[in-house]
Amino acid sequence: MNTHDAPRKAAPLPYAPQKAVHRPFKGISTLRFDPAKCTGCGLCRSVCGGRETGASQPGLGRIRPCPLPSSGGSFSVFCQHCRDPRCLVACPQGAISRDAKGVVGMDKGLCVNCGLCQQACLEAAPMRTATGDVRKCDLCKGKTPPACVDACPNGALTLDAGKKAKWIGWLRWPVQTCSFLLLTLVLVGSVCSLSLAALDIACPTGVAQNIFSSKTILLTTVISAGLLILLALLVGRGFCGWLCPFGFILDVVDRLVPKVFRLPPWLGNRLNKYGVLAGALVASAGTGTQAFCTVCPIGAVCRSYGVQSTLGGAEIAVVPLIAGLDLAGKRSWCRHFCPVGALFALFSRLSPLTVHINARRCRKFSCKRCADVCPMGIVPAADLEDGRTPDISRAECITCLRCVDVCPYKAARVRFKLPGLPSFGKAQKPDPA
Amino acid sequence: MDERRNILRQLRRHHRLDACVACGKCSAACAMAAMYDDISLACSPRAFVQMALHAEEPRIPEEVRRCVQCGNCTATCPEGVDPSGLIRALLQLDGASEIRRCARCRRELPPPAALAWLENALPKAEPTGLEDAPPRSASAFLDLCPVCRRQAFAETICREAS
Repeated sequence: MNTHDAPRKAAPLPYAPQKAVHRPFKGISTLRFDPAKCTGCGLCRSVCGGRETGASQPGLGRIRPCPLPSSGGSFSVFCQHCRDPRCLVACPQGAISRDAKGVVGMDKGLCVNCGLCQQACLEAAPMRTATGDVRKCDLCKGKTPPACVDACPNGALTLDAGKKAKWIGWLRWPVQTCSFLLLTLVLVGSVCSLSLAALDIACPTGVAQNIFSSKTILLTTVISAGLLILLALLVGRGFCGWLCPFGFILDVVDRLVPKVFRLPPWLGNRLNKYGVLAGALVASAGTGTQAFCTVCPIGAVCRSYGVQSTLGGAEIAVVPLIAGLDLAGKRSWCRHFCPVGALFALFSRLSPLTVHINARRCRKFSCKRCADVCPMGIVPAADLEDGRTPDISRAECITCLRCVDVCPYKAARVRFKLPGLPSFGKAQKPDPA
Repeated sequence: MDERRNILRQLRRHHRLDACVACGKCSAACAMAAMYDDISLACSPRAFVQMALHAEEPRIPEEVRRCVQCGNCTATCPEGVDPSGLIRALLQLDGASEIRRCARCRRELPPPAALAWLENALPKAEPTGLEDAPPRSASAFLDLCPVCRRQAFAETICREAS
């Protein structure tokens, strides 16, 4: 008698698993569904099933309207033609493939109808038909419009080719470059304390350290720090995403260096930056100097590398050292350690400007371009895959709007909405109701 | 021991194993071929049939547990052997016929070993470091049958977006 109680590790695949290649967006079409317009008539399913024969065969349909008893409406489930199809990974026969146009097709010659693709898919889009076959949408093999779109009497189904426009990037990079050049080469005093005619702008973290070290509060310095804080109250951490000279360097470095290691969890904790901020304030109070400012990479960029080059020496090493953290992930410094960003984060929680990624508008699983481009790594792609609208943390979002720019289906948008109660570090729980 | 030999005799008769000509068409059709270490004789429908024909008493290989009961082997067999039924019987005999059922409708899911294989193969969610809970595990996600998952997904997305 054999005993097989110990769970065995699954055997490695005898063939190399197929991996979808990550390409830039090339106008891949996807079906779009609007539940508000759907009456649940099921015509899409019938014409899909009868595509070959011309008859009405709902049993063979590859699109399925699911009635929703709570709202009385209906929601059609169909294949999203994922960028990294889970069905493709799951198919033990290698029958599923993704072609150059991004259409995930199933080779019925290889398929043995085992149903693992259904089990692997997040919305079970490969469907077992009335004959017991597993079939999936192939976007009518390139026919436009697909049969279901053609048949829908209410226009609930549409074919969306997506968009490629990238104007925010065209705006942000020049702004970042100009800001970088101005703050390092032209303007005296950089972000730390900038005098523009009658206007004094100072780094809030620097001012806070000043207050702690000198134990005096000067109204003028508080007001000069207040301008950047006001910016954070209005547009979140827009400073980090659009103006910060060191952030610009990190963005450039991120485009150049590969990601080779991961920070250990205790280092890669987003709450660390608040600790650094508190530590900087305590150290300032103790030493009587602006302790963090001596190693601040933002200040170092402006002071050591610009025309002023007041410090040079050891401070020159700060920038490449901290930029080297980006080998662990995009903007590692900003994510985990930057006390300047931490101070902005305290106020950006109250900002009305947020990025909102609507799961129903998204509906393109494992497109994940928003998560790919996010320099702060705060887009929870798993939530989108599950059909939940993720809560983008206002404290972590640097409103660079890369996600808004890159989303081909206009699911990621800028939204103006007053926040609820501020949360600390963690994403707010979505309302279960 | 005699009892188990008796069972084996019954299995041979009931699933018409004597008709097997070891052509291997069942192995070629087997959906779980990708999960097998060795498709030749160690494990595959053909191997199970041959084993049941020649063994003294039933021996149940680990890989039997990955069978998803698609029935392709039985459907393919030109001689009318029923390897699918044999495998089901072997699993029951092994006491390994633990069945995972859909959390909603209690429909039978693919066998645990196949689900485990699937869980291992599927991509893991990338954590953002902001989650309240750890990201959904693949096994929790594999709890629903396709029909219920479709329904659950539709309910989730319509509730969320409204």
